[in-house]
Amino acid sequence: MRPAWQGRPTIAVRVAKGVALTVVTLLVVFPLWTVVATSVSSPELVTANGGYVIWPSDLSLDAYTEILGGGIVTKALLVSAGVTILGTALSLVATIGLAYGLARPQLFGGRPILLLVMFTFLFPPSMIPLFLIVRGTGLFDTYSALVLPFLVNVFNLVVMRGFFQSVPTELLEAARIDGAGEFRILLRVVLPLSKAVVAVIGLFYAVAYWNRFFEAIIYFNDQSKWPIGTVLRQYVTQGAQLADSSVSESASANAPQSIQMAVVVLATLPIVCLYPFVQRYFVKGVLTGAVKA
Amino acid sequence: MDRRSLLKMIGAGALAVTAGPALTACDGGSAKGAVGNSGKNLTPWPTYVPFAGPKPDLAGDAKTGVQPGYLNYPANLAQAVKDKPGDGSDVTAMVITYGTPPKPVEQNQLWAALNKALGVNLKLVMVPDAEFQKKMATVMASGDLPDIIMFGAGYYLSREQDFILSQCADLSDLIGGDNVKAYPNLANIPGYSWKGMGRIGGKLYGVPTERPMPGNSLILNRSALEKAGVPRDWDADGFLAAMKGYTGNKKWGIGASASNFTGPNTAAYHAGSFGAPNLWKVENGQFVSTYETEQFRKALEFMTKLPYYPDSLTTSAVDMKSLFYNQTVASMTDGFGAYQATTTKVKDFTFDFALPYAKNATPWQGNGRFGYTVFKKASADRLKLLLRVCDYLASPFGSKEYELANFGVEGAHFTRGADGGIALTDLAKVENNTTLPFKYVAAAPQVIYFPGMPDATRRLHQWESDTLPRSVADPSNGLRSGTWSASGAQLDKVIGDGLAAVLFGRKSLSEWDAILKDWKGKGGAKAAEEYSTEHAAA
Repeated sequence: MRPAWQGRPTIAVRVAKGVALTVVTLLVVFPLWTVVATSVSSPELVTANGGYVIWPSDLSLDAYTEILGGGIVTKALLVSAGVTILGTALSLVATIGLAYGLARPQLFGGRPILLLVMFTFLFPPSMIPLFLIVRGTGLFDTYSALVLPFLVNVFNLVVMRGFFQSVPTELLEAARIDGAGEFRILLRVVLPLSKAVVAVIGLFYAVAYWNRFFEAIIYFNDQSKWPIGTVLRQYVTQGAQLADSSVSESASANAPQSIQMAVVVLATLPIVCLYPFVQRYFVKGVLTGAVKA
Repeated sequence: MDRRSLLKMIGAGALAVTAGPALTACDGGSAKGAVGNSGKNLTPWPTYVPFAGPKPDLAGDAKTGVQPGYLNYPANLAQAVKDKPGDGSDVTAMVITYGTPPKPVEQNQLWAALNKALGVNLKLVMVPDAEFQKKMATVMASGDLPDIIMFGAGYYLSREQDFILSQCADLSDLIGGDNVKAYPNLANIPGYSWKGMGRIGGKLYGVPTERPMPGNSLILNRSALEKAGVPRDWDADGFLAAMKGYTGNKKWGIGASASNFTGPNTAAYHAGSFGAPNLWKVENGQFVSTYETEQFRKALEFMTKLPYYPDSLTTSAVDMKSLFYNQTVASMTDGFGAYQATTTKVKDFTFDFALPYAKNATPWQGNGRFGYTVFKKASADRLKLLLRVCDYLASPFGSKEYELANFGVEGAHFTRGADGGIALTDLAKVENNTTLPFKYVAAAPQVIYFPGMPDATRRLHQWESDTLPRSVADPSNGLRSGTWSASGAQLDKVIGDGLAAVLFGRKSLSEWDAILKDWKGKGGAKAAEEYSTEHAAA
């Protein structure tokens, strides 16, 4: 006789499961739907409904027109895309190199280097010292300031090092006997086996670079260099001004909630589009590194 | 890595982290007392010389703070600045921004026109409101300062005055007393605004961005109340009855937003109505907090009876405004600037600020300024140039310079409406004084003018005339207290949390004393002492 959990559930259980899943799905979908519905509603409808719209009876794309008009957002999108692509590539190169080195037990000075890296993980630098370093090294007001100080994330490094350590030593020794150097071993043996972890860590880096907004405010005086996160944040917060207002300050005829929701849609869209392509690596990549550090 | 080396590392790190502050504490600290005005030679306040521009339709009163009202845009604009202020040099100014980033100067007609008029290449470093404190902290630490730096906007920065005293230019000889007359538009800034900025170490270090005298108030749906037969002038019972009368059927008499509870804002209108002093009162030379006065307690007791919107504590300011606009709430606590914003949003009912509901009311004034700008230390000639730039940007309403700084270029950013007033163009939606906030470098004293809405102007002017003559100032305004500079936001939060707890039933009215004790213990009592000393000197 099969144990209970392998048996075919009764109709009542299946219906209950269906209902439960439907409820959970609705709980997830409803807020997202409200975000999209509010973003495409006319200001009058948003105000009449007290801020949020469930059924957009009066469609309007004014919020998107306001955000995308004027060229500011387009420029910021390009900045973010550049920073994300280049930053992710550089971060992966640096992380893979460091993780591979630190994963090899025979590395001279490997342990002090690992301790140094871990130290920054436990005690990250605070804002002002980091700012002074960025300024002192001439990175201020350059796009490099959004990449170089964040080139290697210690968490990602530890995950990747753990993964590299799990590659069988016999494989590496076989390659070495065949005359391969460390660089060739990394490129030809280790990396092809590590696609999953590289994809996941790449996604982590890409999301982090895409979402970076605060650093642009601190490290840039020139707001024309702001990435999309910083610019969109301004759209979100501009409706929040309370104490101050003068004649032309309320130039936007749109409801602030429509703008905020349109920003949410625009900011999440690229990552939502990217996610399905790396999702299949996701669980595998994280789990592999998770048990060894 | 084994457990032991991890623990060693944590130990070493903890030592490094704790040693830093301990060592910096030995560096002599701030110039304690240097920022205070006690025992210093005080620079006279800049002399007030009103601008002789277009005559307002409704007269203002600089003494009571009633603003001049214009029903229509002036037909003949005055010239407020004779010569071009600048010499073609670069000027960097760091200001707060609430808007989205502007187009770069090469593509921005407003920016280009202002630079041309000012005769400088004004580079604005715009700091978003949410990150203002952090950005300012890094700028103050780096020592690499822009020419003009804005402070204020409701933020208390740690050691703000110490920083200004040591790093910024003393403007006393340039704008103190009659010297300000060299900059006629700065001389047109009323005294309450300069006092709101205050002196540092007895000297004048900045130029205030004027804001009208009224403080936080209660904005209300006049149409709905008139429909219910509620008179404009009322007493406490009448007010309570009106608010309760509106409540029911998913409508509430009074709204407040979460941000109102970060300080005493929610209580301002009611405390003023009950005659409580504006945050502090001076009794025999000693500062006494309004929170311990009998009037404030009465106001608090009264407030517990009011029908507040039940989700007020979790509703954002933006959402609460929507609830006011769609008439879910009949009234809400808001800043004075809300009136202007509401004129553009509300079309299907009339609204007003509420008159206080008692004859012996003491409506609370604001601090008369939005912020103030200070200058990096420089030669006297350079400082004069920066003052001339500020003078231009402070050109009053009714001048050609004001029109350019606030509305832009005629034909590009606005056209003349049917009544000769300002009608903004589509370009003004992306190029305006929100996206390009020159107005936080310096600005004209505000007037009452709502394009195409003369009735709104009349009503606001009437409310100011009824309210401001009996309004009271906050005696701590412009005085320096180290404790308040360091912990003012935290102290306000204690009161805001306490009000939220009492009004929404988490604590009883009798627990207000415990809240007050907590407030005093966290620095309220010390701030009172420091203000008393400062007050004696000023």
